[in-house]
Amino acid sequence: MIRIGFGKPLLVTLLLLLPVVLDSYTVHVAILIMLFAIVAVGLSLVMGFGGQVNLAQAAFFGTGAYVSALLSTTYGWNPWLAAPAAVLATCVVALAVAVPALRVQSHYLGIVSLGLAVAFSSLLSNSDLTGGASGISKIPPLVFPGLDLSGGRDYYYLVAIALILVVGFALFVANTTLGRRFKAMRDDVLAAAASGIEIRYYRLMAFLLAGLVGGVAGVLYAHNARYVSPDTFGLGVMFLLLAMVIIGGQDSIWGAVVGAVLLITARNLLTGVQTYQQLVYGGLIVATVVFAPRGLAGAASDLRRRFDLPWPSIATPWKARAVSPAPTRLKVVRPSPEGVALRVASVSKRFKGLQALDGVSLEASAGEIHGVIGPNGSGKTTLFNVISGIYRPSGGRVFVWGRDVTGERSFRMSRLGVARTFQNLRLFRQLTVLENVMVALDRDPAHAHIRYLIAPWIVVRNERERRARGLRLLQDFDLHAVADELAVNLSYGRQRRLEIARAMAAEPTILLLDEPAAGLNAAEQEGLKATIRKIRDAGVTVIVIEHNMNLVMNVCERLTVFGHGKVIAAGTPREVAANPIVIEAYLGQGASESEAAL
Amino acid sequence: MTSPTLTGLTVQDLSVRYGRVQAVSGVSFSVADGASLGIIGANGAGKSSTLKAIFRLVDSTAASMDFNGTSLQATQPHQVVSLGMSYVPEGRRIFAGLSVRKNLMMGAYRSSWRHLGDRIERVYDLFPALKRFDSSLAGALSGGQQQMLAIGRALLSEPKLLVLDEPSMGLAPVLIDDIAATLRRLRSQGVSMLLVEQNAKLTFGLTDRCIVLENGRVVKEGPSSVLRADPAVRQIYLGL
Repeated sequence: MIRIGFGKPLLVTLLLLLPVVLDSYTVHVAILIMLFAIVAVGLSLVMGFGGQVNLAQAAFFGTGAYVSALLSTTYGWNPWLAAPAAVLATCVVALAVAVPALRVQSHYLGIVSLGLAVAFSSLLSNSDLTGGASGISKIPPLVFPGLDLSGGRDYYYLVAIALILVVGFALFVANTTLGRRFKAMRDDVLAAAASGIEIRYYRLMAFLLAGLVGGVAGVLYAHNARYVSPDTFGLGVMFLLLAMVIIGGQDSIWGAVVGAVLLITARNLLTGVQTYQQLVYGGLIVATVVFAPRGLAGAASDLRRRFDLPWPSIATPWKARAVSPAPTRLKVVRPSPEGVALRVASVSKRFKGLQALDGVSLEASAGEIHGVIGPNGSGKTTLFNVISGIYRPSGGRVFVWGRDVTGERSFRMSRLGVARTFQNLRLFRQLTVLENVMVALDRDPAHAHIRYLIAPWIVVRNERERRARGLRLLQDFDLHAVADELAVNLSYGRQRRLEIARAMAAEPTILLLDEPAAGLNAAEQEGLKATIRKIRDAGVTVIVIEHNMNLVMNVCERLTVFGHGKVIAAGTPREVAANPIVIEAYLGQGASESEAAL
Repeated sequence: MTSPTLTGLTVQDLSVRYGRVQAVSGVSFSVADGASLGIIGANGAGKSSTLKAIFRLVDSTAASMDFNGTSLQATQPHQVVSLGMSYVPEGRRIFAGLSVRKNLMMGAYRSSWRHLGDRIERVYDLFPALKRFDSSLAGALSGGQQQMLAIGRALLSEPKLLVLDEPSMGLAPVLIDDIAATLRRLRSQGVSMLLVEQNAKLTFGLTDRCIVLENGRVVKEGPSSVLRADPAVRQIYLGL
């Protein structure tokens, strides 16, 4: 769980005591800093964690402000009613902006969201409803009975409480299952889907959180400044927000807060030299990208690692705690260990002008280790992509334990008990080893995240349980010593092992291994053979694509041989190795010769 | 200046560091003109880092590092190729968005473009499978064809020393045989070779001498035929 420690209460106390010593102008600046910190936290969630390039965050901020302003002036609503309505409206707008994200990603998404933000700005400055360039003034303050929130100091407390709640909630999300799924989807979308994450929902959810938080800040802004105008939410502000998140450190909630403090302070110091303001921001960003590519939070965490200091870390927020040892059983399709585990019936897959699979059939019995061999480009990985739901076949059917699963999507296949590894390592690179397996252990459906609002203690309890189970699993794969290391820092051999550990974390009944021995030396290959046998002995049916004939011949019980998208042979390893067609197309004459030479 | 008797590649006391990680420490070897050397070792033993250091793709320190009398330490990566060394990187690294022919042309980027067509034809003679795909995008090739293309691209600069990083990785046995036969043919044409491989069997079959790296250090070296018979090497790298 998130440790409370000493630091956070101290910060909260400081935050609440600050107005006592500050003059009223500084209090005003502090309010602005806190508001921007809230907006920046939202941007950090959607962009840093979710990996969604959202250049419309300033527009979310503006939507909250403008809707609340309009409702409480033109329409005469009570500000306390207008405020939640405005937050809700911002959430709706955020979801609308998220729709393109379901189709496009990275810079394409950036340009789409930027376009929407520009449209929003131009709407504000041209529409009569929003008062055009002169904006909306005389916005009523938020009044508590007996408290005058129009004055600086009392409003400070309202914003401070909002900031504490937002940062607390964001930290909670960031360090538990939802944040981990965001990061997994950011690091590798295919592997995240194959681990059971329904990508569409999480993209929407990332935008929703950004909108929620942006809307809250917008409302608080409007009723504090009592005046809104288009340039407050324009591209200049978007750039400022981006700078906060990048300088602070993309995937750090604290980084966003620190970034807001730095840049708003800088902006106030630079008001005298407007001309150079943007230049200074630009310079700061360049300096950050060059000297601390992962932002200030990343630099702090590097320092902490180097000197082994008890510094606030962005990578390891967890400390071990006693956990109830009772393992939870997973609800996966776990049929009788007999019969046919996987049946592929004349599956075809055509890409533009290329017939990658042409009527391929294959059957793996329960508890079998089934090898798939064949020349490069003969369609082996394409078959795995069809079975695991990454591709939809052009023809034919796929059955898992007798159930027709043709065309099911990747996350569904994971939930139906099919796990896979990838030929060219698709780990969640910026997650720790333990987090990598926790992503796959986590079988909660997307709607379970409602618990963040209604039952956060269940989120906490499940996390502890998952952590304990993750550690046990890592022990099985001899990876527990590096549990807190980032996956990207592991040696190649260990990364290969982690791929298998992560696949097994999903408790599959069928495991697809795509060239697990690639790049392993002979000693490591021996370990891999033992691992594959152990997995089978645990009752899992294993399908393995491999070029390493030593492994294939010794571990597999049956083989299917591919050639040009078709099955050219099948049978026991001995039968296949003696088959002249296989020797011609795949094994080659030399294989046996060089074997003999040893 | 080094003495004129030293032809080929000599590396003395090479070290590579990445932050806190010492990838290569004090490695020395040489590949004489016309000779061949294999480097075998586990993942992370420092094989690829050694090659990258020679091609100046990573920062390194060395007592000396010369190719045909020219110090590589003062050489920029793009100039290394002009000296007559050519690199086939791990994982092929072909230009996926360029056609096969343009990929090959990129291999001759630093050298004279005279007889370019002939040189490309010679690569197609060596790898007939590539000829059919002359104008197709390289990204559409199969793994084996991409490896052939990567080797072909390296040959376009007509190197005296061909440096290969794991050419057998992820290839079907029959393709490994093909590639091995091609490399043998190049050797017989007098091209010297520095070969990094996980596949120790292949390496022993293609090279005169080998060094074994462990944790960035040379732990064994000698004629390939002798190392092939070494019990420790057999157990760890051949799985026998």
